[in-house]
Amino acid sequence: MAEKTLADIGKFLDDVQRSVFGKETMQVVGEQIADIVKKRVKSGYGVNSDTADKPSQRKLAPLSESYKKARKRLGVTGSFASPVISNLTNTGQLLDSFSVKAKQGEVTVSIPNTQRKDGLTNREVADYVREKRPFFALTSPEVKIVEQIIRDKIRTSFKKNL
Amino acid sequence: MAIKLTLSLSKVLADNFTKQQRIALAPLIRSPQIKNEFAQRCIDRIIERTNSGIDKRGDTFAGYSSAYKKSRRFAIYGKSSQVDLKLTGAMQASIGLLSTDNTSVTIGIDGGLEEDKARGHIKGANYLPVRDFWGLPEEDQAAILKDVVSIQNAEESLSVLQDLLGVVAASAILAGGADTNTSELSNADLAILSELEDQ
Repeated sequence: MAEKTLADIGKFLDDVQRSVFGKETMQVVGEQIADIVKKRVKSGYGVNSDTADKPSQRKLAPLSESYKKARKRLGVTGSFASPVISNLTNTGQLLDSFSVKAKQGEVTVSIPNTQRKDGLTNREVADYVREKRPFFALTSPEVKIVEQIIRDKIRTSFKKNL
Repeated sequence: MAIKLTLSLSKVLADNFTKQQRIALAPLIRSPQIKNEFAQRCIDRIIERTNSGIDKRGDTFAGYSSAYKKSRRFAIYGKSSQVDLKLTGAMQASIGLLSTDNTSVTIGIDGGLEEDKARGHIKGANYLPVRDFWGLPEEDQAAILKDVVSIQNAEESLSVLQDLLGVVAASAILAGGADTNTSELSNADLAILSELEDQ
């Protein structure tokens, strides 16, 4: 029977913590969070509030008829963009701009102040659209998805380090 | 009302383990840690099987409709023809441990849109065919329980318990002498340890 000392157990937990909450893993988790938001928005869904503790999913407000006409005339270029569908995608620059910055035990997903082709920054556009179409938050079911991702990583790490 | 599935560890133990194993493991299946781990692994197994396109009876899920395969959401989420009942992943992530009893666990989905989605798959709804993913055959439960409370694990637990017992005893001595009345291990626990050592 292999004996385990408290030092062995401590080292084991350190190894698990390093592999699960290390910078590289947190970066992957952050990219998955960004992907969750991006796919939801592309599907036409935002949230009821991006400042609430537990926002819920809500269909993005429809485009105005005049804006639909303008989009038809000028054309849309983003992936899954349509002149008549409200999914915060015209050129795709806003949703493609999501930035993920990770460090040990922490990850931040943000919309950076990067310059766009139309002269605005992505953060300016986000601030504008979020008034009528809040989108940049995780709903409770989405938080559970992230929890499951992290739980899977912990379990994988446990099996690897055992 | 929540979608629930109650899994009895005592039944799995009774049906799939030898008498000697049952005696050794009976106390362990009451442990909250063992029950939680068993429940989580059963959830993982249901999700894993569902993701591979198999229902609770081992049959392949009915295929997606051509209209769904042509839909915008299907493309946005990068889905393939492999049926896995997973678009955003929210329904699967919402499956959790709802409650535990003395020797059983109840897993399920409690409320909201995710419960409705799951019910639609289990029972079929409108144009959705039945794709019943909600269940786990007893042989799968037995394999999981064997994994969770294997004799080896029991022996390792015994080793850790013995270490802890040593620490408790040492603490008691440092605190001013061993006091049998304040020991964290009861006579019942010691009886279990004896049984495990006999294996």
